[in-house]
Amino acid sequence: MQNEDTMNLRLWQYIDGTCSAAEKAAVEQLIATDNLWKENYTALIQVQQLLQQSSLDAPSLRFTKNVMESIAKESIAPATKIYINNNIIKGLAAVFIGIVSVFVIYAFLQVKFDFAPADDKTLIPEHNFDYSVLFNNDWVNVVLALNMILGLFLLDQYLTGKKRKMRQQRG
Amino acid sequence: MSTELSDSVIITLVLNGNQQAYAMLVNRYQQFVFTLVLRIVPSREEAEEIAQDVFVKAYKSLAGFNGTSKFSTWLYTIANNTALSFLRKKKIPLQSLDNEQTMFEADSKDSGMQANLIEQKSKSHMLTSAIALLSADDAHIITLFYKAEQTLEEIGQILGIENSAVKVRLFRARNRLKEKLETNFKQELIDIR
Repeated sequence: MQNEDTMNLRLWQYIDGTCSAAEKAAVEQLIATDNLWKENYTALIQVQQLLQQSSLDAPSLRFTKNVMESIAKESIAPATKIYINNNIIKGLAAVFIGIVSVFVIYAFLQVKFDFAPADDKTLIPEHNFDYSVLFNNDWVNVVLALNMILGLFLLDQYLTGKKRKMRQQRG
Repeated sequence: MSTELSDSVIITLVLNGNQQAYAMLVNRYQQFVFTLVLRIVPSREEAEEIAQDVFVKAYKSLAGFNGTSKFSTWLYTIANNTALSFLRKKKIPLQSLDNEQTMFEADSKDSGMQANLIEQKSKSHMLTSAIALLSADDAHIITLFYKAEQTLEEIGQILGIENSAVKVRLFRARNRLKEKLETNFKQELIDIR
């Protein structure tokens, strides 16, 4: 069964012309010398020809008229690029980045870096890094919590998308 | 004369206010869109309504068509999404060959068709009948590749899947079609050889 699948796969690639020159020559050789390959090739090429010769289904004769009557009541929606101004998006991004930068700079300015004198035996200097300066404010905690929720939301979106993609590929 | 205009020229005409020019696009693609939808929604009446809806949606969003893909690829993406959305609304499951029930239904259709086989001599009818025995997924991808003349990349874009997944699906679909033809139209295949 697996052999037949492999044979069919190689034959379809040969018929579609998507295989390399070496593979093409190999398949041609197999078709010329092996009866099973020749038989399968004949069957597949017949399917291919039928598919190429087949006709399309036609809707009713009123189809175009119906569509034109429907669109007569409609108007073309403007393209998003017309009503979304890139400058506004850039401005919003600049404000956001500015606020974050100000917050970070302010936070670091509040930190008192009080390094203890270096000891001969101590490789890493001790310091009194006062974390409470950064995390003693309710607003800071709220911002951190919001960021965590946002992060989890984005992770969920990412994983859902990946799951959907995998399901489609398996499809 | 007017049918010689390219899609992009017609689109420009429509966007410039010539609404009637849109009829050329409808005439050009109606059979492709209708066939594609019919592969997903088996009822002709419903398929025709959906196909009309596809053209109305395409018209309304024509300004958003940016020309990065072919107009046909863009249109078939709308057709695919509209047909699938219709199935979801009506809660009709999209047939898949992974589903045992679908396999059973396909087999039942196989046996039911035996009586009519003698009458189905024309190649086109034979192929249409064989495609009707496939799952909607298989029939859809075969139609996109052979009838709608879309490349593997474009099919991937329409279905929202990777190029490699399109190759695998197409390979499986064609093999299943071959099996259906051999099971139901063995004599006819010998006759036309």
